[in-house]
Amino acid sequence: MKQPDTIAIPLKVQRVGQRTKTATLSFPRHSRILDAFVGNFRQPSLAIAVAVLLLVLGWAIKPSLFTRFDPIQGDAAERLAAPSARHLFGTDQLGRDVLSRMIYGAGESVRAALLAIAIALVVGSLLGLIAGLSGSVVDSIIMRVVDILLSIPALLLSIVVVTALGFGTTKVAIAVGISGIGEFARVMRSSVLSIASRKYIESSYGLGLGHAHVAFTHVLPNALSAVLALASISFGNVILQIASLSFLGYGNPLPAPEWGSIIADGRNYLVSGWWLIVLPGLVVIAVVLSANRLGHAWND
Amino acid sequence: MTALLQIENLHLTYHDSQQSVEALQGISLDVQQGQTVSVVGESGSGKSSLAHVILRTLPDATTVSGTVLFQGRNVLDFKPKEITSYLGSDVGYIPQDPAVALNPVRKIGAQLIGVLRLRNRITKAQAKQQAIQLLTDAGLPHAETLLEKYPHQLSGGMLQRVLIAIVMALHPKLLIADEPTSALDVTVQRVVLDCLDRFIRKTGSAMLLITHDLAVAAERSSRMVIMHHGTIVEQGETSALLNNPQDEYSKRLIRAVPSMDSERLLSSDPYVPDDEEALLEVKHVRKAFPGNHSAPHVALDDVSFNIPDGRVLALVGESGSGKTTTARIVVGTEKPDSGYVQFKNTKYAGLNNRDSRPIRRKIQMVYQNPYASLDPRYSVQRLLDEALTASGNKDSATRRAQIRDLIADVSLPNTVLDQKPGDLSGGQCQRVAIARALAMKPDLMVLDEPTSALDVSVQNDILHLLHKVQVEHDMAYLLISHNLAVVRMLADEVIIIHDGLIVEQGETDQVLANPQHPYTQQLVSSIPRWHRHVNVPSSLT
Repeated sequence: MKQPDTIAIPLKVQRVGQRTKTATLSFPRHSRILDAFVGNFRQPSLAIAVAVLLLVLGWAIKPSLFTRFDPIQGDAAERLAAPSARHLFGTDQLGRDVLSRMIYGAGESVRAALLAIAIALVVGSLLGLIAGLSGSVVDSIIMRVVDILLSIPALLLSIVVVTALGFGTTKVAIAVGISGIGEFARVMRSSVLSIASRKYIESSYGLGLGHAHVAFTHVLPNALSAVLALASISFGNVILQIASLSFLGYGNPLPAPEWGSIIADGRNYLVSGWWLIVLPGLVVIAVVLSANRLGHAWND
Repeated sequence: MTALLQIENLHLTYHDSQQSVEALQGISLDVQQGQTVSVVGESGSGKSSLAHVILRTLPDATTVSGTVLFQGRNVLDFKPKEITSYLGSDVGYIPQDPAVALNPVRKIGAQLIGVLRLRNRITKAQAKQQAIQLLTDAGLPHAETLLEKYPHQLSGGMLQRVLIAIVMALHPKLLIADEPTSALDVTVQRVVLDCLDRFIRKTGSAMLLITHDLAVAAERSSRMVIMHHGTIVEQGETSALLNNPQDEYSKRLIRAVPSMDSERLLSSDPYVPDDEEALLEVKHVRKAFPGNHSAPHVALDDVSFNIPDGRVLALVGESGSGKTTTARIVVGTEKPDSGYVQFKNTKYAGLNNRDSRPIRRKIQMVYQNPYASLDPRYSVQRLLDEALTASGNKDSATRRAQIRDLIADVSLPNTVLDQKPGDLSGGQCQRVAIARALAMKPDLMVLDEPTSALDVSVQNDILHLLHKVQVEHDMAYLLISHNLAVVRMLADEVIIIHDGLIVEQGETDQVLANPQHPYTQQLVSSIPRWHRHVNVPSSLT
């Protein structure tokens, strides 16, 4: 499919009898980035989602840019202060700025989420690839193992793995990753099954190429798009799972800032300060929804 | 007499979020009562869009201008209620794929009776009788049992005839048939088209026959309209048009169609039969697949043939005959249950993947659909590079030079090297597929319907390319085709296969001129012949 030379944005749709008239604003296309940028404006929800995720990414990379408050050392004089111009999210029981703790915690959460998804993606895809390309025996064995993984509720599975591995955000990430393997394996396998019957795979074997070579150079790249879409949709869910496990106490011990533990900690002072839970909770919700929205857009 | 359908200056534009495409640019044509007009064109010419305009089945994102007068009323101005009464009783539609047009979860009888009771107040019993009568008129045997069957239980040809019966049950004044037989075998094609003719003559309907097949149009219509890029380049009485085309495009199109009168592209070397060693020997091959219900389906039942070095052998059969299975066994994708396949005196059917590799590399296949046979994510450069590496070329510099030679061999410009299959046209894509096969320096190329998925004008070019390659490399071909005209053009010998058995084989011109086996005779007589209609002057062949 050839790319058009101009970008046209339909502005107004006017129905005249049976026919619809659209006026278009068009300008020349200069780059794909501009194209993606303009694309965002057509769907405001996508633009917002991208903005939120970019902000959180900024928080993760360089937290000091976004806040001047120390997330660990608090100012006792300002304990349990309500949200104000100075402390946008208020302060907690030790006088620490809540927003600054969220900003510094973003790095932990994002790193952990990426690790979890990477584990689920790589291991799950590999299993799915092997299952899809192998004969029925190997395929059945792998898929029954996957079925077992899928039949256990994800959170429960993560808790079991963490209990075995030990506490800490990294181990939480590994646990969440392991619980996600099943889904990725299944999606990859169905993608591989449909690709493997295509004629260009058959003709690659006709060139005399070996099974492993064809699997990684032809099958995998074409089957990857479904799995990548799942990865981006799962991102939000993974953040939630990690936050939940931290909330339950399996993450890094205090005073390390991590979204789940911030919320858990806030439970104790809920009566004195609603902002300790509500505002961090809203941040988590916003990130989860944004990741989800981006994942759906990628899917399209 | 006013025409039944009068189209004047019709313009149609499709809009999507990025661009607008003008599908029809100023179309004007008439269809008289009871007349059959064929609309001929290649893909993208706008012929299907024309059908959709007349049927008012266009999507919302379109702009239409001009007039489409059906019995004096402008179809484009119809309100939804008027469209409902117009479709079915005034205008009927037969699409290409009957399986999609029929409801898969309702019995044939229910669908047919439902339609009959739609416009007439008759009882179920009366409708059933009429349904049986209609199916019998359509030439379908055992009409009573047919009523109880579901669409998936019928073959393509039977389904299409059922669909014709359903559509004609309402006695439409105009029937639009959009490529009604393109998906069917040539013998079935004839049966379906005859059925269509019978119904039309009985109800006195006019027909707009949309097809890319000039031969079908020539046989079945009195007027022909040739479309190209959304415009009508020429129209007129069929035989006059075919005899004496005026427009350049028409001339090119007519000249490009492989027919029984096209020039034959054969190697001019005299053939000396060599009894000692044939390049490829297939002996007593039998292959069965696990069947649906209990008995395994026997695809091939004792098939034997030889391909001598440098000769072109064609394998002709219809769907289900076993020709595709034969091709796959020759290439090595499938293994025969019994019998053997021998390449240069080495049996390779029993060998495992690794051992048979050097032999399989010397037998390359070119597939029917060029887009499906090339990895859509690879550029042409990378595709050819991969093939050259697989055939043992370690040095990247020599590979680059060889890639340029290969591209030149298939008459493609160097600019295609950076493009992906999706950016290329069908003809260009098939050339790349041929180049890739050539990169392996094969001794035998298996061509599986290499031109069936391509437009007519491109088919001719590809056939000439295949001939050139054959002569230059002294290549042996196994050409699989259902199209006897193409076979006549390229093949020295032909084998006719039917239900897994070889029914006839021999030199192509002898078999076609003097078919012995009844099945071959049926095949040869089913070819739509338009030289019957027409005196094609020698300047056109």
